[in-house]
Amino acid sequence: MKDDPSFSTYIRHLRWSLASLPADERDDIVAEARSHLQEKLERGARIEEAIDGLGAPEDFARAFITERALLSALGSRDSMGLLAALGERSIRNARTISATAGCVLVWVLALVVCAVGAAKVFDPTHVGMWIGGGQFILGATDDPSKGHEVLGLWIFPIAFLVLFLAWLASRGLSVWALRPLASVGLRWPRRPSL
Amino acid sequence: MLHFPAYDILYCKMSNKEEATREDSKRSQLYKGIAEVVLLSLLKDGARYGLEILDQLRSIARLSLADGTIYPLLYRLERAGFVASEWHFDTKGVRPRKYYKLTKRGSAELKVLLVEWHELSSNVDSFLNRQ
Repeated sequence: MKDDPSFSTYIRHLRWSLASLPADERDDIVAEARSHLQEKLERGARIEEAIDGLGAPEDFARAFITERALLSALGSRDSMGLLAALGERSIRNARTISATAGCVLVWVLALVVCAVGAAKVFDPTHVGMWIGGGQFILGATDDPSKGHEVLGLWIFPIAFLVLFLAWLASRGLSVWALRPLASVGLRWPRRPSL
Repeated sequence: MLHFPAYDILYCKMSNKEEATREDSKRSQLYKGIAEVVLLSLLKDGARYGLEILDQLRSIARLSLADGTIYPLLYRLERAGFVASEWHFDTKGVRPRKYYKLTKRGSAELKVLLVEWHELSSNVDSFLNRQ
């Protein structure tokens, strides 16, 4: 049974597909799949039926890898891991859609402010934030006399502050959106609105 | 029954096989969520291994889950701390099996989920049986 080439090929492919998991977890999953298949065969199932039940080794492995990526990102609070996990699940539900939109918004704002800060180093006269004369400009202008430049050199600490706030906000939004997915999946609303 | 003409247009040319696959997929998504609660409830009665859990979810809870769905689910619940596992040999001492049991945290989670489940199912029943 377990000497059947399909059996050993499946187990070998499963082990390869689980390569990104820690060795102890990989061994555990493979051992459990092996035990499962052996018992199915002993119950009289054909090897193809037993393997079909678990699904393609790549798909079966992906389910574990996806779960681990999400839980690891939440456990370590690694910002890039959190954002990557949110990105992969951005359209899972209303909460993940809102969080993704929020993250995109705060990072676009932060990058614009940082870009203005960086440009100001090279052209302090024409780059900044102007208010007045019925207009608001954040960036570069050909005629700085049209309005009053309000930030001056404060653009630099403000850029750092906005960057920090964007990082903080995106972490918060990611945890808020991902935590319900990581715990038991059957999460009913506390007050169903039916 | 609700009727959406656009829905008919989208799916009017769907073959029986495609339609069956779509129905299976919808059912599978629904079952996955329910399976977690039923699984935690099943483990409340004692430790069980994967195939045994599958058998009981199918025979007692009448959930038609694919074999491959139960192990990632158990993996998730274990990493969340709701279940714990141990390897033991079967009664013949031939094959090692991974047994799962409910933890204290899992037991507390189950209580919360059951309250939510009863509340939701009651509300859905009321809605579906409205005049």
